[in-house]
Amino acid sequence: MRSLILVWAALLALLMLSAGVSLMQPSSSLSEVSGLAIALAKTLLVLFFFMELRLERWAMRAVAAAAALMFLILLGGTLQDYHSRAANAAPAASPGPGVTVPPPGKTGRRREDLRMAGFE
Amino acid sequence: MTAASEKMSYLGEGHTLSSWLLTRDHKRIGLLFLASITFFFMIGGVAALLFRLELLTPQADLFSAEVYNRLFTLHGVIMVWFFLIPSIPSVLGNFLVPLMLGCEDLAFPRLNLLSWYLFMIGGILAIGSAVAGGVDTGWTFYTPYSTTYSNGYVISMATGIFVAGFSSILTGLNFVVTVHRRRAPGMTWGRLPLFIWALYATSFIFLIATPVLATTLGLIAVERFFGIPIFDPRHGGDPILFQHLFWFYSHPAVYIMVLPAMGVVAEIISTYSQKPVFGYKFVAGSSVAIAVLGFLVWGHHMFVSGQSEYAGLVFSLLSFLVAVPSAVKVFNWTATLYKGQIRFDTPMLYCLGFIGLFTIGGLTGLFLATLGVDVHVHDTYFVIAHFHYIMVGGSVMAYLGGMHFWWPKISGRMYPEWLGRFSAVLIFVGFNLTFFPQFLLGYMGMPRRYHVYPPEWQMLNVFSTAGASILGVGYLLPLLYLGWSLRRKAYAKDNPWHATGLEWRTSSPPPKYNFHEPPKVTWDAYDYDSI
Amino acid sequence: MTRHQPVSEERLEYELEASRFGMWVFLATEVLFFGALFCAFSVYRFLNYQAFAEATRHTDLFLGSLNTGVLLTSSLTMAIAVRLAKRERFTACSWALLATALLGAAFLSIKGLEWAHEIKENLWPGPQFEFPGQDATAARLFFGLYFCMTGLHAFHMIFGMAAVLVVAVLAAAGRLDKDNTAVVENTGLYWHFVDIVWIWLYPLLYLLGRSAR
Repeated sequence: MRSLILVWAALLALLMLSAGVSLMQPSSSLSEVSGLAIALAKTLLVLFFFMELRLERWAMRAVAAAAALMFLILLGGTLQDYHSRAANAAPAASPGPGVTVPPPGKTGRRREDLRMAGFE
Repeated sequence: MTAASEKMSYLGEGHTLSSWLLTRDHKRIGLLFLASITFFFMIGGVAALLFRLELLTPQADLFSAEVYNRLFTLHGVIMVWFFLIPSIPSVLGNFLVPLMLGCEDLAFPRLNLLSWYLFMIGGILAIGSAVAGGVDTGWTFYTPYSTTYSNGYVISMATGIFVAGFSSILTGLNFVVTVHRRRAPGMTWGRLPLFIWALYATSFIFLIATPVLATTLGLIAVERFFGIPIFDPRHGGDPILFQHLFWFYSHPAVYIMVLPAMGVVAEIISTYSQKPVFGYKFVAGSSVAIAVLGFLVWGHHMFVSGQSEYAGLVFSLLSFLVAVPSAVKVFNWTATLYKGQIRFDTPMLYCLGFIGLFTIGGLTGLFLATLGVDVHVHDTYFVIAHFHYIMVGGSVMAYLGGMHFWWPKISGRMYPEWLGRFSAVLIFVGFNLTFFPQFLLGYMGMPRRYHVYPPEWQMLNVFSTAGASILGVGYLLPLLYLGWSLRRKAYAKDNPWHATGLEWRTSSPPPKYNFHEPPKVTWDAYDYDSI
Repeated sequence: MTRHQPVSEERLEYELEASRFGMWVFLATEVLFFGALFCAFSVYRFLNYQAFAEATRHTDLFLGSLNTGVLLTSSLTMAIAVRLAKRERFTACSWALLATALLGAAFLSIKGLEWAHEIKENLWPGPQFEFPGQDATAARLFFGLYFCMTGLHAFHMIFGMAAVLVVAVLAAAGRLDKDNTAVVENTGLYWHFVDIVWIWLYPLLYLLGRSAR
C-alpha cells in the first residue's frame, strides 16, 4: 500500500515539474524533450506499479511492448514521409514582396509554399 | 457415424431459433457466420456481375457513371469487410480453433456471439446505405472527396464498417487468448497445427490494424458531420495523411485475407500428400513474419499520391522484403508434395489452384512494388488483376477448399466428390478467363473505376465478363450441392481423410463440448503414425 | 466458464489468467485506436509548428494541470481498490472504487468547464471558428484534433466510470470473493490505461510549444 502512495507522490512531482518547466520558458527543444520524457516516466510508473507489469509474466509485457512498438511504426512511418518532402527541407527561395518569411526550422513550410504560390 | 449419433452432436442440441441466436457454442457461431458471409458474398457478386455487364461494351449503356461508381464501391466494401476478412477466421476459425487445440470452447464464448451480432449490425448498416442510394467513393474513401464532395451515404456506410471492425477485434482477441490459455495438455507451441499459427498471426493484425481504421473512419464522419476540417486542403488539411492512416490498416488487412488461407492450404496439402508439412518451423515463422512485415509497407499504395520519393524508396524496399516469407511458404508446400501419396480430391484441387494463382498474384505484387513500374500501372486494371489473383484465386479458393475439407466434420455428411471436382475446375477456368485479360488491359493502360473505355479493348473485356459468368456458375454449384448433402444419407466417418489434427479425433459432427474425454497430446502436428 | 470435466488446480490457474490477459490485449488495441489521433496530431504539429505552439497557449494550463492531478489521484484510489480486493477487504474496496468514480466525475466536470470556455471563445473548430493569432487555419486543425482527442478520452472515461460504479456496487453487495477479483483488476487495468492516454494528451495539448518564441 505504501509503495502505491509513493508512486502517486512521484507522479504528482513529475506533473509539477513538467508544468514548471513549461512556465519557465526554456528553449523549445528543451520543453519538447522534457515534456515527452516526463510523460514517458509517468507512463512507466503507472504501467509497472499501478498496472503491476513488474509482477506479470512475459506475455503481458510482450503485449504492452508490441502495442507501443506498432504505434511507433505508425508514427515513424508516417512522419518520415513528411520529414523528407522537398518543400520541408530547405528554406524557400525569394518570396514575393510583402510576404514575411519565417526563420528556418520546423515551420509549416508546405503551407507557406502554398500561400506564396497563390493557393490560399 | 449415423443419423442417431448426429442427434448427440452439437447440431442436435436444440432446434429452436433462440438455441441458434443465443448460442455460446463456437461451432454454431461459426455456422451463423457462414450464413451471413454467404449472403454478403452473393450481394458483392451480383454487384460485380452488373458492372462486368456494363463493361461488355466500350460506351456506357447500362449505367451512368454515378451508378457505376456506387456499384464498384459496394462490391469492394462488401467483399473486403463483409466477406473476405471474416470468411476463414470467423467461419472455419471459430469452428476449428477449440477443436484443434483440444478444448471445449474459445476463451470468451459470449464475446464470440457478440462478435456475430456486431458483424450483422455493421452489415445491415452497409446494405442499408447501399439500398438508400449507396456511396461512390470507392472502398478506399479517399479524402477530400469522401469528406467534402461526395453526395453518397458516407457516414452510414463508414459506421457499418466501423461496427464490423469491432467484430474482427473481438475475434482476434478471442483467438489470441485461447491459443495462449486453452491448449490441451501436451499441446505445446511447437505442436500447434499450422492453421492455428496462421490464425494467431492473423489475430495480431486484427488487433493492431483495425483500431486505426476505426479512428480514421471516425475522422471522416467528424469532418462530414461537424464540418471540422481534418483532411480538407482548403483548411490546411492533408489528404495524404488520410491515406497514411487508411493504408496502415488496409495493407495489413490484405494479409488478414490471405494468411488464414495459407493456413488452410498447409492442412490440406499435408493431408492429401499424407506427409508432414515440409519445414514446419519455417512455415509457422513465415506466418508471423508476414504479419509483422505487413505493417511496414503501407506506403506502396501511395507511390504517386504526393508522398515523398524517399518514403517511396523505403516502402518499396520493405515491400520486396515482405514477399520473402510468402515465397518460403510456396517452396515448403511444394516440398511437402514431393514423394507424397497425392490424392486429387476436391480440397486438394482448390489447394493446388491456390498455389499457382497465389504465386502469380504475388509475383505481380513485386511488379507493383517496383517504383518505376508502379507509376505506369497504378490505378489500372493491372492492380485489380493482381489483388484478385490473390484474394479470389488465392483466398476464396482456399476458403472453398477448407469448406470441402472440413465439411464432413462440420455437417457429418460427405459432399458429392465428382461435383466437387467439377466445380473446382470450373472455378479455376472461370477465374483465369476473368482476370488474366485484366493484366493485359492494365498494362496497356486501362484505368480502373471507369465505366467506359476505348473500343480497342473490348475483346479482352468481353473475355473477362464471360469468365465472370462462368465463375458465378462455379460458385453457385457448391452452394447447391453442399446444401443438398445435408439431406443425403452419405454420413461421414470421424476421420474420412486420414488427417492428423485433433479435430479428426472426435466424432463427425463433434459433440457440444467437442471431446468426450479431454485429449492429452503426445505427438507432433503432422505425425501420421499417431493415427 | 462451465466445466464439463473435472480439472486440476493447476489447469484452473492456467485458465483463470485468461481474462486478465484478454484485458491487456484489448488495451493494446486501444493504444492503436488513440494512436491514430496522436499520429494525425503529430503530423500537423510538424507541418505547423508555430501555429500549434500559439494554439497551445489558448488551452487552460491551470485547469489542464489540475485535471492531470485529479486523474493521477484516481489511479491511486483505483490501485488501492485492487489491493484491497486481493486482500478480500471488499467493503473498503468499494469505498476506494467510489472515490475513483468521484474523481473521474471531477475530471469530467473540469473538462466540461474548459470546453465551455473554449466554445465561448469561438475555438470550436466548426464554421464559426475564430482565432486571435496569426495562423487561424492551422489553429483550427489544432482545435479540431484537440476536441476529437479529449472527446474520445472523455468517452472512455464515462465508460470507465460506469464500470467502476458497477464493480463498487458488486463489492459493497458482497458479490465478490477471492475467486472472482478479476473484475476489479481488469477494471483497474482499463482505468490506468485511460490515465496513461491523458498523461500523453497533457503535454501535447497544454505544454509543448507553449513557451516557444
